[in-house]
Amino acid sequence: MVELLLVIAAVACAIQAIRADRLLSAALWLAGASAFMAMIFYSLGAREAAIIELSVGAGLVTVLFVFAISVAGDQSIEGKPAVPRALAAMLAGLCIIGLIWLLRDIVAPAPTAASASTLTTVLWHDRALDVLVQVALIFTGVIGLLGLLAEPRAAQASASLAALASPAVASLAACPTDQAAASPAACPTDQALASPAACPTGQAAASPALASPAACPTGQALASPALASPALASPAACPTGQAAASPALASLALASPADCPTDQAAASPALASPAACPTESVEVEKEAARL
Amino acid sequence: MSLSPIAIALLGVAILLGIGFYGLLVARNLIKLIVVLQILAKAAMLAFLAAGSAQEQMGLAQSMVVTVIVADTVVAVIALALAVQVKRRYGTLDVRKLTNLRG
Repeated sequence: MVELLLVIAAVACAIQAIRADRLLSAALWLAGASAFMAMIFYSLGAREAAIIELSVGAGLVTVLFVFAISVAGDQSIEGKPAVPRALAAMLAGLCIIGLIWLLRDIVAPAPTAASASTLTTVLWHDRALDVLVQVALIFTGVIGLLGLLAEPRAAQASASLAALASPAVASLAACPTDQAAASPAACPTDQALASPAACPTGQAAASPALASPAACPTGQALASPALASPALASPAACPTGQAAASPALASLALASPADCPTDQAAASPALASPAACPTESVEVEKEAARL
Repeated sequence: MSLSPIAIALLGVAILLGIGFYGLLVARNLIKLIVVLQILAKAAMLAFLAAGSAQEQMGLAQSMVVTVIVADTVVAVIALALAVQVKRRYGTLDVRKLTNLRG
């Protein structure tokens, strides 16, 4: 009855993993459950699956959990759950009873004959498509992970792309971050020239002016105003922080997008359009004075 | 009372699925939810192996289990990355506070 003991141990570990207050202990209890599960696999005769489960389930996944918890923080969340615990326990009990009732016929004694096909032949010949899909799945996971864990630059790049793809004539200022300030050609500090560029909180905004707008998302960021820029459209996208964009000066291009993908960098491909996105506002003021 | 190993494994499947559903209902932490999903996936693997052992097709069952392990790990990786991003963006992991749309 070693299987019974192993199942009891795995179930106990799983219960502890759910009951644990701290996330780290929950992850470690999950690792314990995974190890016991690997032993059950082995006792059932699935040796390769047991090895893989032990190394991946108990090793890799636990490391991933510990890493994620160390990044995200181990805060305990108190408060009532969405479903009352008594109701949830009742539903779970019903589920267990129903499953046992469904599975009550499959209690036939274990066959003693050895399996004809081993894992190797099945995995590499009969189910080669599964292996292919697994490889594709792993690559999908890697790409998704890179996309998710990349710095907010990815969102900014997409914002500037959206700014580029927007139709011309309407100049466009994308301020995807939260506390975007409406900037009538300059930030709330002073020197409000023309070119109304509205950045309503959160989303991109399109300013219908012909003059080029300047987007100043946050606090001390400055934007040198648009000095007589006949550009029909010069979108300036400053998605984050203290980036500032000095829009095109006398830019002849129809569209002179000045996007600031990162915090400091700026790029305005227009003709003779200096774009500055410094961290301090001093440089922008200097440049504005120079202009 | 002498249960066959398959019956024991199926009993474990039922209990693990039950407590997994209980955890899904009561968990409020995103990472805890991912832990519960792992438990549910382990129950599914055990069910595969019990069925394979009953049908004398351990090769097929093991290949299925390997597929499940791979898919489950990828799901865990993506879900943990999502949880980290949620924590960065909203400052909390509480699923009840992640309601931008209030009805």
